[in-house]
Amino acid sequence: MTQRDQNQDAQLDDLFAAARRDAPEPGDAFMQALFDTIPEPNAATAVIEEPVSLGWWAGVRQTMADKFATRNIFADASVLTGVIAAGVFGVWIGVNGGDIGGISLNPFEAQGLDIVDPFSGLDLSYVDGGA
Amino acid sequence: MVKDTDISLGDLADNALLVLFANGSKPAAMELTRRLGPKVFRHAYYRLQNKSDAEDIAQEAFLRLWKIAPDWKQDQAQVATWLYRVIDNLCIDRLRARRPSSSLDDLKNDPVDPSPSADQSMLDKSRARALHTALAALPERQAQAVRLRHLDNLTNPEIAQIMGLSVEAVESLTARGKRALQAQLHGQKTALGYENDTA
Repeated sequence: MTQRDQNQDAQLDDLFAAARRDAPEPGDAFMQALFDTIPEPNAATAVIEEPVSLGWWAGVRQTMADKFATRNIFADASVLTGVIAAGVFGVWIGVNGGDIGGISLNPFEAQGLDIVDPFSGLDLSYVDGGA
Repeated sequence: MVKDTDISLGDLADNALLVLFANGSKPAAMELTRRLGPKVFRHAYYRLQNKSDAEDIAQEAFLRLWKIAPDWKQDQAQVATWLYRVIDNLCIDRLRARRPSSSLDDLKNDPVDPSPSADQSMLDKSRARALHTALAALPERQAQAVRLRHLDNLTNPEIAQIMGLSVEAVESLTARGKRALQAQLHGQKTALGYENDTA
């Protein structure tokens, strides 16, 4: 860059600086007028940005948290009834030793096979602690 | 929802403030206005050379901002970039509708400054007027790039976003604009107070 170019650049920079200084400052009345353009927030029209997806488990946790947080879980009666029925059925199977009305739930026994304990001697040694 | 008292609004980015406003926070909108209002006003003034027109345009731009706030996506654009673009479009409309002599009328009505710095102020005014006249004679895009770079002090990437150009294209536009300005102003050196310059 020649001396002449540098001088011209400097003069142009000087003109830009003069134009910036010459610009009026925004006054208080103008700023107040700008504040007055702000509408009162309206909750009905407010839109919350969709959160970024956190993955499948996070979705399940969030759904459960929402259910309990809103305390409407009892409104979803079909889900609750199913959970209670499954629990009662499980207890009943335990009490009856896996035999429901003469039908065994043990697949080996249903096919006429006996179950053999391959570690029949292990009980005592385990109880004795192997000593 | 984040409460205004939980965070310092001054630490938040412009886009975050706009989203907060969309979710019901008026203080967030006020912080955004305090931050961007003066910049937007000056940008309009550099273009229109008329204070009351620049104020009108700035208000209109903010009204539009509040209107689109509920649909604003944080990763979509910068609020300032969006405002500068709106201001540019509104200024173009205003200049088309304006009487050709209105800016001169405005200058005639400027009060005389009796302070000791009045000489400097008058010199600034004449230099600013010469610059704005020369800018108005440039191709629109060149003038816009030069104003954004050298009057609004924006970076080339910011200007590229506002103008929808690459950074290289902005650099080229700005360089050509400055050369054209120098050529135009060369004959006015004495009138602008550069009579002792040897160049």
